[in-house]
Amino acid sequence: METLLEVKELRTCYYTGSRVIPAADDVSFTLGRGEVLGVVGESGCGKSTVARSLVGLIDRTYTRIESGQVLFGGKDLVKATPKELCAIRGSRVSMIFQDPFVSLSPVYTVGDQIFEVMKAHDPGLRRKEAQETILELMRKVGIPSPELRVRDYPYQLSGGMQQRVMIAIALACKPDILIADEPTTALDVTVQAQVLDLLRQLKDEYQMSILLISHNLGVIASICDRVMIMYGGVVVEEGTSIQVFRQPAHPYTRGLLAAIPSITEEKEELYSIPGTVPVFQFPVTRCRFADRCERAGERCFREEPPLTRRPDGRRLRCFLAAEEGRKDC
Amino acid sequence: MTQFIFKRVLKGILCVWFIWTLIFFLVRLTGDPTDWMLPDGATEEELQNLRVSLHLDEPLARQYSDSLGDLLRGDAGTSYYYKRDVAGLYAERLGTTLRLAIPAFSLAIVLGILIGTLAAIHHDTMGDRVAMTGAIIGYTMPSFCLGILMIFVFSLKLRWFLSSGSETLGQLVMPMITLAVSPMATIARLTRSSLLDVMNREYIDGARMKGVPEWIVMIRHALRTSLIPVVTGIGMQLGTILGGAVVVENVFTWPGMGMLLVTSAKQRDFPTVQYGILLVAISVTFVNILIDISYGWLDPRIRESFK
Repeated sequence: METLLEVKELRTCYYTGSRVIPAADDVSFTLGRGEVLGVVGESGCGKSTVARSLVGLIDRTYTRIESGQVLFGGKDLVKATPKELCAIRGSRVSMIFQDPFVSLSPVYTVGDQIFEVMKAHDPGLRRKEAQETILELMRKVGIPSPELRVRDYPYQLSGGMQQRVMIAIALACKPDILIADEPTTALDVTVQAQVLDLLRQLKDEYQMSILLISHNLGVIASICDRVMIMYGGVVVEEGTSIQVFRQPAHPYTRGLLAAIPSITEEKEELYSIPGTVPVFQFPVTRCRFADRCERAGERCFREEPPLTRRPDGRRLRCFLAAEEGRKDC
Repeated sequence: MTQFIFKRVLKGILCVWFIWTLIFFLVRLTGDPTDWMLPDGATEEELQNLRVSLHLDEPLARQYSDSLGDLLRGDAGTSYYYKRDVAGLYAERLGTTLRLAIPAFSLAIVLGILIGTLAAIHHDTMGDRVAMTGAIIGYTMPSFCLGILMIFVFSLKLRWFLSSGSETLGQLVMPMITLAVSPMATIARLTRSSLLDVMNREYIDGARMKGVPEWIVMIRHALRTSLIPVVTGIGMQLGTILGGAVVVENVFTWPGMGMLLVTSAKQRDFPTVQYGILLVAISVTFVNILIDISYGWLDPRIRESFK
């Protein structure tokens, strides 16, 4: 598979007062053409930070990309100028957000908001000429009677329709990569399934890659080719969906999967990983999951495990599981 | 929409009528105007004749209904001092006041929004802190104080501008700035806080993610939505400007409506005071109706509620 995007040792830090918090640390991954990569983790694990760092969508007063590379189309986006980023955003890399209601401007019509992204990458385009394309796009994302809806304001639409408008905006310029940051979290369960179906179908039609961020393992499992599990700003495990879901290797991944209620088993109490996600300060000299890990040994508190590739192709950041893996092979 | 405007205008008329009534009775609490109108040593009979000729001998209720009736017929009354109709008196000075108030108001709006926007974009930097400290000083400093301070520095010490008169552009500078500072500071602070709030909304990132240049995102998306509270503030600042004009015109001897109003109040020239306040009330009410209508243009959700 052709590699479209390559992220190398990305580190993005938040600056609050005197503290430096590595929100994303040593994050490396690749995204192939037409591939769907899922990024999973609890709130605050750095998954959104990674997604936003890719296209420079960060508050530069308090956040900085410290090091690393984001290689896309022969360029390093970390070093790209604002102008270069503008040229890529919306046309080659698009993003849809968690809550469509707050992600669409309340004061412009749906049609105008779709037009805005087209105009940004084709300055000569006129609103009237674009009307047919806009309606076609709205039809494609499953908005009924687009001729009427095109003049609506976002508050006049339902959540599912709003998210479809977001998707229409994201797809207007036929991007190579769609970043979907929790695209279904704010929606009703039935609507979630519809939106996922739509994404799956549009992915094939537009031949695009999707970086899907979610804390919902069900959403990830239903659509992703590969999965990356994040914890405390670092990637702890990455592999194909089958590898990760069938044979989770990292204790954190195992915990996540164990916490999913099953309809076949009868349990008194749902499993949960003890403790909460801690906030780390730089530099980190231990396994970030050690506090909550049932199997953590003395070494885990002394040294941060590196992200190593196992013979079966998956990557893992754990001393214990790495040893097990060696035994397996 | 038509119905909305109709309702708004009706409320405005009621409001203006209320203010006029209030001022009608308030000026009559200040005392007897005839005390000042005749030379010392005038007899009680002469005073009484004057009161009769001004209809001040009649009961208050009668005076009120007569004045209101005259006003509705388009007669605002005759000044006790200038012996002329007050409408003409104000009309002559209207231009002079507008020559001061319009530039001052425009300056306050344009610079206020500009400073507020820059402060919000560069929030928590040195420039932001300096601008906002300046805004607090400008907002709290009384205009007569600032005016006198400016006369001291620029007229007496530096000799850049004349301290009084309204003939040249140079004479406009100080009164204009004095009048503009407080509303400008208020507008800048409002713009900053409102814009900061909007800048953190998700749809600003949504617009950035379309590949729209940052300055267009700021103007088209952030500033437009953040202007609604600012526009409300601007409407209220018009009152400050008109009230401030009264003070500033007196500090800089600017022969406008404000000066006429203050002089008439001192002389207990009832018709002149009443008409002056009426004009202020009408203009503030009118601008606020315009502002209510502009909300609909700024936010479609409010437009919906007009229907």
